Amino acid sequence: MAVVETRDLTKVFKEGQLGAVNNVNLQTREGEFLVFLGPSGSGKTTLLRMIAGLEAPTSGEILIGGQVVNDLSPRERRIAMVFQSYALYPHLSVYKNIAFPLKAQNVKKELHKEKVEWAASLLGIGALLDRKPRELSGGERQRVALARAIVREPAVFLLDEPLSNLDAKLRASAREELERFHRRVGTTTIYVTHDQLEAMAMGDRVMVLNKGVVRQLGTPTDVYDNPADTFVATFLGSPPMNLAELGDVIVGFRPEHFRPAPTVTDAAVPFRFKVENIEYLGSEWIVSGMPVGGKLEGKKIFSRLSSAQNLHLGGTYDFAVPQFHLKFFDRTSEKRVEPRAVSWQ
Amino acid sequence: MAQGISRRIWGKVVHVLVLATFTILLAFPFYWMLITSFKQNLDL
Amino acid sequence: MAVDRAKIKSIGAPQSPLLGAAMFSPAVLYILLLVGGPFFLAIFYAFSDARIGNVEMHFVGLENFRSILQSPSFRVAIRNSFIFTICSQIVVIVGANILAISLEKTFRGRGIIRFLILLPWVAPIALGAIGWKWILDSIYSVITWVLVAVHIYKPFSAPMWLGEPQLAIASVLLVHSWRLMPFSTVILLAGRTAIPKDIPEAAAVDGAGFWRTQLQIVIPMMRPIISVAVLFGLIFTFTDMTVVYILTAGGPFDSTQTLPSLAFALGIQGSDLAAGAAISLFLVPLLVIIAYFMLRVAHRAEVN
Repeated sequence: MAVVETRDLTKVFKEGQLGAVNNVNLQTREGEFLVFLGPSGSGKTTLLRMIAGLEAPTSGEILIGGQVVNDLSPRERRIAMVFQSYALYPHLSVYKNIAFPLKAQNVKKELHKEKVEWAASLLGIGALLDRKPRELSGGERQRVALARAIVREPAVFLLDEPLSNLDAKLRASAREELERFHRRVGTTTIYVTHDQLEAMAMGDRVMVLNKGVVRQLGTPTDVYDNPADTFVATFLGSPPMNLAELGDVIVGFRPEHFRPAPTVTDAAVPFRFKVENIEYLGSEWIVSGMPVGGKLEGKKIFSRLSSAQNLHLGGTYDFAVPQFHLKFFDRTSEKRVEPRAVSWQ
Repeated sequence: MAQGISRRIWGKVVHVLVLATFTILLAFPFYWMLITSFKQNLDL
Repeated sequence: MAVDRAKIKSIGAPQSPLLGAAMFSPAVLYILLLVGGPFFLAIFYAFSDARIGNVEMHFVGLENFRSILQSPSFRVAIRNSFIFTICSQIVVIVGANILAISLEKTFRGRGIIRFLILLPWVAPIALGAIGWKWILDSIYSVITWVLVAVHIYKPFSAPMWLGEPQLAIASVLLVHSWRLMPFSTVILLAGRTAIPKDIPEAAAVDGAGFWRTQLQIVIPMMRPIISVAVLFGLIFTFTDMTVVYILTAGGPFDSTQTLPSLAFALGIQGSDLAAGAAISLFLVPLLVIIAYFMLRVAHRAEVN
């Protein structure tokens, strides 16, 4: 188990252009589940690959367990990686797939069986050892990939969007299995995803990236309730935080805090809200529309409600946002600032 | 730092050598034919 | 509802079996006339005493086969056919793999290199063979010239590359390998680029070094492609008479004869058409076996 650290890590693919990864500084904690979260092209996968040793950094240092590993090959770094496509060896059986890292590291052949069976039982795939990858379902393949990663008892796990190839229903259960797996094994894990839900559910800490720059590093609570800038604020949460420009600040509030006025008891900002679209998702309702009057007139606002029985399309209702749920961001830098007084009319 | 660089340089050298060997072996007869069709019985 | 479904079904099906047959017939005719015709004629000749220039021809049963099997040059020819084919294939597969590895990554000048490397295959066989004949010629060989210049051999005492039986065999092998190398390299390169990039990366992360990755992961994954390259290579080498004919004409003392070159020597040059035909027929069994394996590889590829 080790701590992964990067110092001013940068990767530039084309000279003169902005790097894929720019001056990233991070330090994992022992045994934590750290999520790299960001949209496509944010540099999260490049960052992961540099830590793995598959991509050489342009500048900066990578440390694993306190040792600078920039010049070490992947095999020497004691890391294990699960790829998005799982990268199982198609011509080898599941057993041989899992045993391959042992073979490659010249582990004695007598020990192979014991270790493979241990890894397989951890992931519940003991019955599949004789099959070939093409005979397995997506979920089974993912577990084989994990078994292959764990069998070497690495210091760090690197996971590159391992759930994105699974269909939605399977994703939820696979996610839960991964969480349980991590609790059981306890290895420091770095997990890359673009799905903010996964990041919130699984991460001990979340590192939000955009265009190769770290926007915020913190616990799920931190990034959700105290976003460092507008990017983080809108990336986490679905539907995203409602943002509006007022004076020299940008004010934001989350859809779940924008509710019909009668339900709001604290000091709140009132709105006259015209409903334009209602989506019933089963467990909740997503209502979108526009304020009538005031500075926010004509701006699309989302609301998330557990019940919208009394709302009708085209109707105008009294809505409100509690004051303490408002977030303020500087208009130019888009970074979070202290709350201040704004006029809504 | 040094270990990484020397490994990379060595890899490149081998790469160039291999390519050069194969290219010469495969293309040489044509080069030779081209050359000798312009010469008479000079050397050889 | 059922009527609509029936209508839709009939649109996809052929209008009539006759039309299908009519579309097929040009191809069938072509194969029957241009491939089947000479083939069956050869079989017919093999059982006769046909000669070039003779008008008449008699049936002689197995006489041709009997005399061929007794002739020593025939036995050498069979041996050589197999040796040349198998040995050159081994050289080519190993060499082409190495070359394919070298050509995978882009680098400056890759286009020119690829062009130069393709030359042995795209140039006419005769051209390449003639070129090598000059390089290996006993008097004018440039190899000899170089070896003499570095004092490995004294002038005029260098070995005769095409004149001594062992060296001649090696030379023919060399030229066959040389000609086939680009072909196999192109096929293997295509096979390599078809391997998803993250598999060798996974192997690297798992701890495999360069050789282990190549030998235990990449090459086994290329098995169908390698099969195709090998099978084609076997056919091209086994049925080739040009290289032998130009380089050594089967000599010295018939030591480099192969089945096709012997068939040509006896049948066309020696005018004994029947003997030539009979020798050529011995090519058929091996080619049938190779054809079977090719169909099997193709079938497997379709299934997967």
